[in-house]
Amino acid sequence: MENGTPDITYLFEPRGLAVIGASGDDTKIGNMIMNNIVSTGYEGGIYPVNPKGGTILGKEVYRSISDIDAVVDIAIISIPAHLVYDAVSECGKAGVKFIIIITSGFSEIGNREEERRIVDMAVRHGMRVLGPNVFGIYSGKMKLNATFGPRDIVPGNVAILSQSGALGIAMIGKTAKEGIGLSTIISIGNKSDIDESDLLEYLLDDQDTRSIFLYIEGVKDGERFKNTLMRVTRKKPVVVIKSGRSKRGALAAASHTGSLAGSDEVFDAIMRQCGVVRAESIQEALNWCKYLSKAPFPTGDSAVIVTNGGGIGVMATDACEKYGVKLLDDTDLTREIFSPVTPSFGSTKNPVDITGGATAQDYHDALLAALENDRIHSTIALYCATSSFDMESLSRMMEDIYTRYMDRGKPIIFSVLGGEKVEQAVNSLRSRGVPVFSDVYDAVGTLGIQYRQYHHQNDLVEEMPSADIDDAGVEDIIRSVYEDGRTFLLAQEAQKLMRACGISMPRAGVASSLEDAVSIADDIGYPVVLKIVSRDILHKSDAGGVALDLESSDELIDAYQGIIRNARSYDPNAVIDGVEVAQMVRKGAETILGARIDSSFGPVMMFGLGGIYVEVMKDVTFRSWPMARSDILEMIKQTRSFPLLLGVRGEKRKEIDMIVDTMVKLGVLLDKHRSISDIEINPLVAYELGKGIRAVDIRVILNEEGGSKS
Amino acid sequence: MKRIVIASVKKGAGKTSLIVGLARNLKVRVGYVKPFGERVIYRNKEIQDLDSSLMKDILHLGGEASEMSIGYDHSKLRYLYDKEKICGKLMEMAETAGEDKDVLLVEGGDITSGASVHLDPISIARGISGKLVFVVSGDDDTIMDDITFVRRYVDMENVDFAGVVVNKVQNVSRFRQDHLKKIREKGVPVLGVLPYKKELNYLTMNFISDSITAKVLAGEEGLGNRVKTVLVGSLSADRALNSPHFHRENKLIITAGDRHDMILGALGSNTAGVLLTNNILPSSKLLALAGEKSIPLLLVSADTFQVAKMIDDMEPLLTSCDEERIALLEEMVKNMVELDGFQ
Repeated sequence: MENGTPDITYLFEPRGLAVIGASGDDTKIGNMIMNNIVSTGYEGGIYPVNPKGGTILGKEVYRSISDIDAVVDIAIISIPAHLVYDAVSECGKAGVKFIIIITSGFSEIGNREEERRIVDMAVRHGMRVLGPNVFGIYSGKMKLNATFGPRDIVPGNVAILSQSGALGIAMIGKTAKEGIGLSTIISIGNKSDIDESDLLEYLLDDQDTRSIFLYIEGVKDGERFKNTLMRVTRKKPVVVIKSGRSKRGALAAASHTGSLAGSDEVFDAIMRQCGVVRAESIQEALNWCKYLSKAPFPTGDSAVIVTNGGGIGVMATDACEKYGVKLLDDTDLTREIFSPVTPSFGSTKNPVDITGGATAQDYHDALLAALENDRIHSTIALYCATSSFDMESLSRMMEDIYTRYMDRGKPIIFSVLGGEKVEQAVNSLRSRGVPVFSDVYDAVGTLGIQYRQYHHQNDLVEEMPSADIDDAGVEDIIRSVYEDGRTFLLAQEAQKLMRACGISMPRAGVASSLEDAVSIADDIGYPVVLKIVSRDILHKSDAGGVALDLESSDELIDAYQGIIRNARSYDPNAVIDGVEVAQMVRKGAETILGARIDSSFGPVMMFGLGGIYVEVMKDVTFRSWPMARSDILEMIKQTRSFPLLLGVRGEKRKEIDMIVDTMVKLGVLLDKHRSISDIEINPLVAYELGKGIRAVDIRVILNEEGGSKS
Repeated sequence: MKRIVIASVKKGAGKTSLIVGLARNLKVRVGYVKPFGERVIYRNKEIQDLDSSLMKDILHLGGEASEMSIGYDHSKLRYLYDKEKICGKLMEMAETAGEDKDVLLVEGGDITSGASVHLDPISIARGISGKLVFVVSGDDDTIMDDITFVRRYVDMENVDFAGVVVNKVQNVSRFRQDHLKKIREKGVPVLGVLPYKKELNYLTMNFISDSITAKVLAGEEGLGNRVKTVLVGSLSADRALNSPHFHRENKLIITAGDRHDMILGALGSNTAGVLLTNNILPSSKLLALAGEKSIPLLLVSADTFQVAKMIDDMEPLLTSCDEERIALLEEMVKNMVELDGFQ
């Protein structure tokens, strides 16, 4: 490598740029890009490059990038694919920092090798590559529209990163129509080098960007992406749309965690954990980004609804419940604030109903009253069209109120319901940046997103938990498994692993004969459980390899014969390593705890209702590791079966804290010992407080590579 | 009381089929034991041999099926018994089961099975002073090899060797013509020659479900369906539907739970059942459709290859509900076996 990695700032704030493939033919992409750059007022150096020479749009055309005697931070390449490699090579010699390859025809059509060759060469020259297969970049700060999309981009505070070029171009037009100002819009294309994380690094500290909209189809380096998002969302909101839900991983059959952790479930859980908001549609994402880029942050949780209709007020209350918006619940205070502006037959309780007879002025007074009181932190203004309706004065009033709220740094959101005139007014107000919606759920949902972000940014960052694990002991177990040519642990090895982590298991031993089994059972005490131990049989129950609740040696003898015979019949070639004799655990709440290395996001944890119906009930939640204890508790609470842990029908609360402890141990184990790809406890039986937990069955799978993080 | 030990040279020769046919035809009181249980099922803390269970029903025997065997696995026999104790237990069992009976049919295993724990058929025949009958099956050459082997190499000292029953013969008249004389010249009495009947090899969905510990997701009413063809649903549904194999009657389709097209195609044609692999649940709509059509949908964790192999290896065991097959065996034994030798 001849140079270091360039600062990503030069991609967004270039001092000079070259367009390789610039053309005088206005049907060519090279011309469209030049046209956009020249006409939007970019003040840096603009250097068109084309072997034919001449001038384009008044700019001298260079025959080669090496002829340019000025700083060129970016080279935008729009030439046929087979010429790209040589062009990039020349850029490297000319000291270019960033290459934007507009040209398509690389990995997106299977031509990975050429793409890799180009990137390797660029990196050797100390350059970074955006693309191929991108539409370019817009940077509001630099008045730079280096895309082949629409020319008129409204500058503003929303940043858009799009993996899809076509969608990105469409969003340029869409944002202009919606009155959404952009700080930047950039497409990532094939992500041969620069990916979302690189771009987010810049946006994290970019003063012009107040909200970020990310459209992605797949994640390349999930762990880095996750860590970057965690930092970015602490400063500004990120809205994501992800499409392309892929099939389950190859290990699906090997563990419940694997089979339940569909990539979209994991992605969704991790985005939530990172504080990212996931939108279902482009419109929803744009609504949120637009609002979040302009609206002041609330200073507290108490929202108030001001309405001229009872029904819509109730709907808004329901929406607040759904989206986690907390309503001010102090009737004395609301009476004090709103009685001067509410008719006697209205209601000063939240939602405050100023009644259908209210005029624009009444409305103005009520909203102003809410603005003036410091114990109200945000306002939801609802209006249903009535006979006293005067849309023109209402529009003026809403714009005025919105300005006042903005000046005072208090959020307000409007929902107006009515006919054609109302719709026209809504569109007009929206284009002027007023957050007004026709649907009350859209309005409240948007405020809810802002509150989510408010809490995410303001909640204290908890220290990541740790656990004492006998690391040397764990590595010994792993080594011996690899030495035996296996990638999964047998029962006795899994038990040793649990002991090394301090996870409580039933007493057990592995018998190599019936005589042994009887002896172990005598030692443990009846009742006992028998389980086949075989490297070739992962799903013991399916193979008839489990016998429960054996209360005497006679029952044990029958069971021993039965499970040996069943195992042989299930797989006549299976190596039977023995039969595990374990203490029969008392009944309790059966949970499942899983941890696995996700191919994109690294360590991922799972918690859910355990037992044999795991895959049928699918009552499981996911998070990425590391995570705080409060996050673990939150993921436990998120399951439908959480009330079982709290205790139902007179039962006492179960050992929830011990479940959290065990999750921490699994997370630490997986993170420190990357040879482990999957670990699952099913069931982990939780008893009433003070009575502990028991990890009944453990499944541990190692990765094929046999490497270790440390 | 006559004690007859039915043995074979190889597994799957048809011992149980012969015993069922004999039980239905002998005009005397018949008892049954199987000292070394091999076709084992362990359920609800109880272990029993499937053949014992079948014979208990057919012969209307009292007591528990589990009492018809001394053990089911070498582990127990080694742990609890030595040669002397095994002999004692064997005699005790023969006497108890033979009480009030004219004939006791004793099902042995193949010739080597149980030898290390003194429960091979020769030891059993010696131990209970019973007559020994071998069932031999396969192509003509295999049958001749097996009979020659038994005559030439098996130590029959103190054993009352009654002869052989030849089973699963493709062409009975030709076999009789070509081989009977030679067999008799070896000093081996032939007690019967039974033809091959493919109907006897059909599996039922219920049997498949039990044997591979599958979860029955839907269509329980169809568990009695007989499987005549097994197909792995690996093709696209379009191609499968155009394949003549797919239109065979009473087929079992093995496919993954996410192959909704294949499952739908199977449910729309003459299908005995669908076996879903990799523990992937199909949509609720398909479950409902299978329920409506009474086509069992079974779910297993194993992959398609593993399941297909297990089914290919499966012996089509009889159950007492298999009236058609039992009647067929009764008829075959009546017409093709010299019953006088057994009563």
